[in-house]
Amino acid sequence: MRIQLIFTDPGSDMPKRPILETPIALGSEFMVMPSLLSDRRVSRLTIKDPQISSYHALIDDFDGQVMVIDQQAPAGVKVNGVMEQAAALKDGDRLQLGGCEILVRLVIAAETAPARSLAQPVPSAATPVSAESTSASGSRVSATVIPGDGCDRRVGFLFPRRCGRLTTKGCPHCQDGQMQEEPYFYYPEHAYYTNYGSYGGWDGGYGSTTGIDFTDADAASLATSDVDFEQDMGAS
Amino acid sequence: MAVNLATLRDRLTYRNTATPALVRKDMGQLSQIDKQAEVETAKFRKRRNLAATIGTIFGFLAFVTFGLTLLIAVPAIVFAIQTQEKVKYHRRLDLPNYRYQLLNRLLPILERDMRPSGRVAAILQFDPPDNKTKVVRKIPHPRRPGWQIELFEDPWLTLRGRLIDGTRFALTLTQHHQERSGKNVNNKLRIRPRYKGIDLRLELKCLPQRYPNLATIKNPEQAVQLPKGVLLKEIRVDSRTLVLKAKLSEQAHLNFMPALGNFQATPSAVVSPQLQAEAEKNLEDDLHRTIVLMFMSAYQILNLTRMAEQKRA
Repeated sequence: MRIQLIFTDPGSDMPKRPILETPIALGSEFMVMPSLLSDRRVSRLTIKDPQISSYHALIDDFDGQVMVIDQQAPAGVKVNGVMEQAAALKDGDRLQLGGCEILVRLVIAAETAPARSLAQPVPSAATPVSAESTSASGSRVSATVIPGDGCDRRVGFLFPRRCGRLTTKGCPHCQDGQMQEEPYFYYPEHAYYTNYGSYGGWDGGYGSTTGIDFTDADAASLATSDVDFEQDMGAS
Repeated sequence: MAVNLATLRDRLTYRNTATPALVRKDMGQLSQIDKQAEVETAKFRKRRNLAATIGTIFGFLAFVTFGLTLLIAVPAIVFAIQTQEKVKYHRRLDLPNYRYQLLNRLLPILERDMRPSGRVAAILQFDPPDNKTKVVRKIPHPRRPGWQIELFEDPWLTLRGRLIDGTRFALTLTQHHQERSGKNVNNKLRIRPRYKGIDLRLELKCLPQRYPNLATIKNPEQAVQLPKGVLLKEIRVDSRTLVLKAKLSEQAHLNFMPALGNFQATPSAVVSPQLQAEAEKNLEDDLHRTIVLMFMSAYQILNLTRMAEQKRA
């Protein structure tokens, strides 16, 4: 079963929404979490938070029932605000691990099918897939389409966005699906401008503002010809 | 496009419009050409030195003894002259590593934010910065009467392309060089070359509908972050253009001296090849860091206009 975990990473303060296959190990140390359970590959999700143990909890599917199991972590696991050793999870539940709150979305086949139809015509392997919708308040929000078996890692240098490859095979960002534990694909260059995207100290005269992501729909809406700059160059 | 060796030897310029992946492939080819030229130059230089030494020794012996050693000295000197020509031939393709390596490092970063079919137009020049065609001005030396200073500008990298948001970017790197020349007290001509830093210019032309009210932004220079030793020379913002100019000072790379075409202008204080290689690597790293920060600073400004627009909506 595939589960989407939506949370704000305490380390980077960035929103994350990886889609992972059960069993899912949650903790702060990638190497401490098991890579295999009963011959099944474990999706390991690393959350850097001082209150989260190196191997904090396990989410697994038992006969169609998704359960979260506390791995004897001192901080424990709260499900919808109640401390639990083991508890069944349903769509929309909120997990609390240390100081990190995680929204659980169960990704079932019914959700995946229309998402794929939104992506029609089928984009190329490297084309990101997304849809844009309008929220109840009328403000534009960007909703990421949940891919079937694609790469959900976030890529981009200036514009953080989903990789969106329809298959993880040959994908350099998730390395054939082996790097699902860290949904963000950061590059060393981001360390040069540590507060990139944050406008605490400078607001350009606009007043306080919050962070924003470049969405894939933005890219699609701005498709234009590539010819003019080549003519400017006079290049052969 | 594969690199054409004859054209490269003739013009010492790489020019192509292609996908970043293809341009990087070409950079790999340039790297091979450069390495081959370095090996061949070193080989012929060794032979030339050996032949010149033999020629000098036997020539001296022939002068002292009027002996047959002249039969050895003359061919050795002729061989040394011929080998010098080969050194010159191969040295022409001994390209400055930092130039193609920098482009090779920049392309994968920009490629992440380009459409898969997106192309870049790259012009990379390898001719020495003291080429006479690059003289922009001549001024009298401020302290030495009779001396003059020639100012050179070498725009060795131009890179253009379009990012995924429709913004067109143009990056230009211009290396500054000076040659101070005049006669010394012995009435001999002296030429003193000086590396004078690199100017970086980034121009972004964006779609006004995506980044509205760009011209109204206040204090954009506060969003600019540059490495230490890099000076922000200018920032200009109008309704659809953002221009950033920065200067990488020569003070940050005191050991760096580019390979020069003017033989007489070879610096008197010769830096060891190892130190020179280190200085080139440092320069490449600093350029890379500066360019990355220029792009991020520019987008820190552009994204603010977009956020403000969403906030207003």
